[in-house]
Amino acid sequence: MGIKHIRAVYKKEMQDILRDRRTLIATVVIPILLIPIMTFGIPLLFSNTQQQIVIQTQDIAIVGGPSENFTRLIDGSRSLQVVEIDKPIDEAIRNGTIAAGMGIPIDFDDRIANEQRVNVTVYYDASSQTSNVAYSKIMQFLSMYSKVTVNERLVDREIDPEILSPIQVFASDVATEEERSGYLLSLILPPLLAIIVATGGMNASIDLTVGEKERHTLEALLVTSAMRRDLITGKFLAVFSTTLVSIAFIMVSLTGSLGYISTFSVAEQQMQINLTLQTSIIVFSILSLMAIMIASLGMALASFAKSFKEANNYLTPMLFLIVILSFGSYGINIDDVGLIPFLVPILNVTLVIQEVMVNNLNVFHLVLAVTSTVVVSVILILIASWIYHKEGLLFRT
Amino acid sequence: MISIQNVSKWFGKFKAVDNINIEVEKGEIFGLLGLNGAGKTTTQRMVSTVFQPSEGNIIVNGFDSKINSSEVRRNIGFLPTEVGLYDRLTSREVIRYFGILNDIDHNQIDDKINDVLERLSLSEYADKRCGKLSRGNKQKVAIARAIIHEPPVFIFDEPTSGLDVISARAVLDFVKQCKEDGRTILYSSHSMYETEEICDKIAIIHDGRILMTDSIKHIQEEHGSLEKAFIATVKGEKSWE
Repeated sequence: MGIKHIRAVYKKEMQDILRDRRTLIATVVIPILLIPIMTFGIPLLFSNTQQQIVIQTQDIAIVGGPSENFTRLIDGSRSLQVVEIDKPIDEAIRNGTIAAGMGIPIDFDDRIANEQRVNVTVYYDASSQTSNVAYSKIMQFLSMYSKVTVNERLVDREIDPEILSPIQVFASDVATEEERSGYLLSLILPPLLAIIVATGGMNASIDLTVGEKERHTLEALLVTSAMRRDLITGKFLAVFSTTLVSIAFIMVSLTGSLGYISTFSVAEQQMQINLTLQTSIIVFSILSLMAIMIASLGMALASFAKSFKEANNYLTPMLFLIVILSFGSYGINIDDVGLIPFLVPILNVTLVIQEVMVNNLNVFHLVLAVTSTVVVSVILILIASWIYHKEGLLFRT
Repeated sequence: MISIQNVSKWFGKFKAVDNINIEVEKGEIFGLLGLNGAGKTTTQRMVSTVFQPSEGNIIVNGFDSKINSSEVRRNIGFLPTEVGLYDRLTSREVIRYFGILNDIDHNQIDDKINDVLERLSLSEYADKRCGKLSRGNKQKVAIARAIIHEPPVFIFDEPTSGLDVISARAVLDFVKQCKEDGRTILYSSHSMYETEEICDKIAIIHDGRILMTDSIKHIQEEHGSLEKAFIATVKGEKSWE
């Protein structure tokens, strides 16, 4: 009778879930809306903002000795403009009157003409994006100015300026277009995918377990001929299916978004995005495994809780932990990572997805991540099942 | 049919039920009377296998609840105090779900659902979602859910609690009908009048202990009414123990 009961519980739960607007929103609507925002909107917004600041001309001030020649050269660069200020330079930077400033000596022109060293102080606000861009532009300008000045001095002495550059460097990136684009994507997407999957699974698991207590249906359910093990299995499969559907929507949405915006630039890097069928299948599979674990975790915690409120109290810190583990991959260089991170649930999933996205999947890492996730899932399912057999825990007052 | 033998139930250090003994014969309605927290629900939960007794044995239709709990569950229909239904499912879907979980044959389930819906005057609400039903009709769906597999033993925990007069009357009439059909019923309530009306025998339970067990007829002969006997017993003015 086990299979029949499991099928009945599964069918009923799926019916219930499909009629629940809240779960449908978490499972279908959020992935469809969120993935395009994540893959397209955020990078584009970031890229546009950064680019706009770089394109704009920043106002800067020069304090100390006025140098018409120097000021004219800066204004001529078109990316910076020297303005007059009537307040201290640090205050002008802090309140946004100017983006940055320079302090030069009174005898700037004379010292340059006499081939003496000149000390220049650059003022900027490291906490301001505009000021940082102005700082970079000033540093670039000073470097160029310094190089041109040296060249002029060498030419005056009839020395070839190239004598100062015995080595000329040309960088050649051996990464393929897929790897370069995958690298950027691999930083952004895996943690967010993990969090979306976790959120969807948690919602369904709360509704199916502690929901029975809150609706007062648990007692009637426990008195049927169905074994408690069959009840929990049916419910678990329903939570898992819901999460799988959520992942399927995520993958469809992801593929669609990436297909639509085949190229866009992020932080001056051109990003060619390519999610092949093979990578999609691997990402789908590893996320599905994680979904099993999240469903088990959610059910174990929610079964223990007396109410939705209490379940949320348990699951909210758990979500924080999931977020921390998901973004833990940020601090790890996947080219030089040991085996231990691949044993840590959730972190291992984000790391494997990273490897997939940079086209550098290590099969041993995949096996470790799969094994670890399956083992943790089995333990959590057993805990949930055990709670369903403990009347003291099930009917806590 | 139901034999509760020296049963006690502990929740940690709290003794909710203290060495009780009850015998319910086939075709009898046996009432458990007591104040809130007296131990009625815990006793019924033990009979229905939701809880296991800490001490003693419970035999239902020949099956020991500790050794053969699944057979005990097959032989009972349990209506808990709280009417818990799935709001997004229709009455028919809820009854079908519990029918399958109680091993009703696939070929018979539709006929049985229609029968029980008709018996409880629920046919016109069969395809309405439970969330949209009145309190009385929800209680009827909960009863239908509990009896769909036609068990020989029914356990009703305060089935008229919170119902209006007409709905409560319908439930009481249904319980009487079940007795006429030969069912054995363990019925808990704190309403003296309904207990007096439908039960054959009662046990007064207080602080987890049974203070009195007797037939309604005998109690009425001795005290005039069940209410008087109950108050006297619980206040400790007179005990038949």
